[in-house]
Amino acid sequence: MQKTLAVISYLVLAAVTAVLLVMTILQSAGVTGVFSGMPIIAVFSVFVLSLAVSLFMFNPKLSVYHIGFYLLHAGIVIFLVSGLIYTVSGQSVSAAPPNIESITPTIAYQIKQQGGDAGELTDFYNRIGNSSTGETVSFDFGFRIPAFKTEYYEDENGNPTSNVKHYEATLEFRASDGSTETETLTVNHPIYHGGYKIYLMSAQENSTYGYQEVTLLFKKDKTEFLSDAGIVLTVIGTFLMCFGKARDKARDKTKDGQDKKDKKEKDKKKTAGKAPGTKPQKAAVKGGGAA
Amino acid sequence: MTSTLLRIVCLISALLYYAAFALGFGKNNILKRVSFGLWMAAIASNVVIVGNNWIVNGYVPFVSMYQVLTFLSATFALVYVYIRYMHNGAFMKPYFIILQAVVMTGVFFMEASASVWSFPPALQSAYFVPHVFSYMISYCLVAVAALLVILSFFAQYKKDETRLRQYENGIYHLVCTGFPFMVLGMFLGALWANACWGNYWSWDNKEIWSLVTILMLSVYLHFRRAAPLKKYARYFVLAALVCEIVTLFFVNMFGGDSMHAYS
Repeated sequence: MQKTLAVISYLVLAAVTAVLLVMTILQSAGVTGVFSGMPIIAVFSVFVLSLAVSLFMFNPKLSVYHIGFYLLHAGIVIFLVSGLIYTVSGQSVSAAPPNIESITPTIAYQIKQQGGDAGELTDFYNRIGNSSTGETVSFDFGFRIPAFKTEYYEDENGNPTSNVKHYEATLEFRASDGSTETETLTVNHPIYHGGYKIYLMSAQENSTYGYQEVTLLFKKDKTEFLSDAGIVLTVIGTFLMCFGKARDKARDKTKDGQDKKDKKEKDKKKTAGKAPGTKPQKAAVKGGGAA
Repeated sequence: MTSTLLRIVCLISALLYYAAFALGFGKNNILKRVSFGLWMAAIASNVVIVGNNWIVNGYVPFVSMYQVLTFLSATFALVYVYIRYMHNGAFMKPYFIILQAVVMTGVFFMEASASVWSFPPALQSAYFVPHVFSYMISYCLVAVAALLVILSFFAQYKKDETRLRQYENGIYHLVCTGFPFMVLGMFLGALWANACWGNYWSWDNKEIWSLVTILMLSVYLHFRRAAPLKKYARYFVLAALVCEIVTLFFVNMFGGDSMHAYS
């Protein structure tokens, strides 16, 4: 059983390593969004679990607790280092294009686009600026929002309420060769384009001027997969450490109980061998007690 | 179900929990069985409210504090079953029951949200349910652990070594079970925030308080391993409960502008 488990864990480890290698090659070839989202978290989870099982199989004396200990602390370090790299690796330029007001100060640039009507927006924007720091980021593509849709919840009578159910922005990108590409952007589902991860942050009706204010976030974070890996390591490590410790203790307790049982039987045999009339001794150790 | 009816069921549930707790200390076997029956009835009425909230929402009932606390109370029972069988925690049953009673008493004074809830776009995420549920499991366990800490002070005062050891082991098992779920909840929140707002961490009041709660528990786990500091470890579980209460209630009430304003 142990041998089979070892073989399975090694095979899973090899398979996941191969998947990670393919993903790395894809990322290097320019495919965006490979190391992000739920699939990469799932891959990392399988990787870490199979790594832990393999470690245990390689050295059975290494307890689950210890494997958890190393994974957890390595995970925290990796997460913090990736955060540090993200914080220090910023970009800076100097101007903001018209109709765009930049808000957040660091590498992530939040823009507000006034309008929303395709007729008003004839130009594709190819840079965004930050008015507070004077930084601007230029893209090697242009973009615009030709359409924006807001759905509202309905009351019991079927009339729309003021509570928003769904935001959906249509983003049109124009490459340097003039070709265009359209993508749909919703909250919680960022899209990838030109090395940027683009988020739909919020949208609200500007009642004074009668237009929709759409807030987008452009983010370039090359260490995102490291952060995800750190999270996966930390969570799995914590579970292994906390639950593994409990299991180890339970095993020790059972072993201890078995030892006491053996001692009891040995003592019984001893007393049985003594001369008749001798009062048998109580050999059992008063056991129990909390673990 | 109307809000008045919900309130009545809530009151019945709370009273049944109190009765089950009181009778649970009886030496008589019959009293113990009655206590168990009352506890089951209390859980059933608790589950009725949770089920009603679920139907009204058409989604997991984590919409308002009222719904979260009702669910939390029912979660105590689930967590107890695990602790009972995996960590030999039968002696902790009354403490789980009394906390369920306290939570349901709080729920009784809250306004029942019987109307259909509007689910904002930011909350429409696959991370939402596991994030909240992980926190609920950990909150239950930390609450019971903190109660055991208070009881351990009494045992220490009475110099009842057996009880003290039992409580200390109980606290350790509860924290060991709850801590990973708290870590999972926090990191699921971080992944969700990255998918929604483009940041794993925003130094929001709720986030900081939940981080402090985790740090308190990790201090407990580390102190417990260091001989000269072991005797102070318990205090950090109590501190973790205080932080947990601040995270759950006070940040929403007095936290000002928060990204977690709807939670």
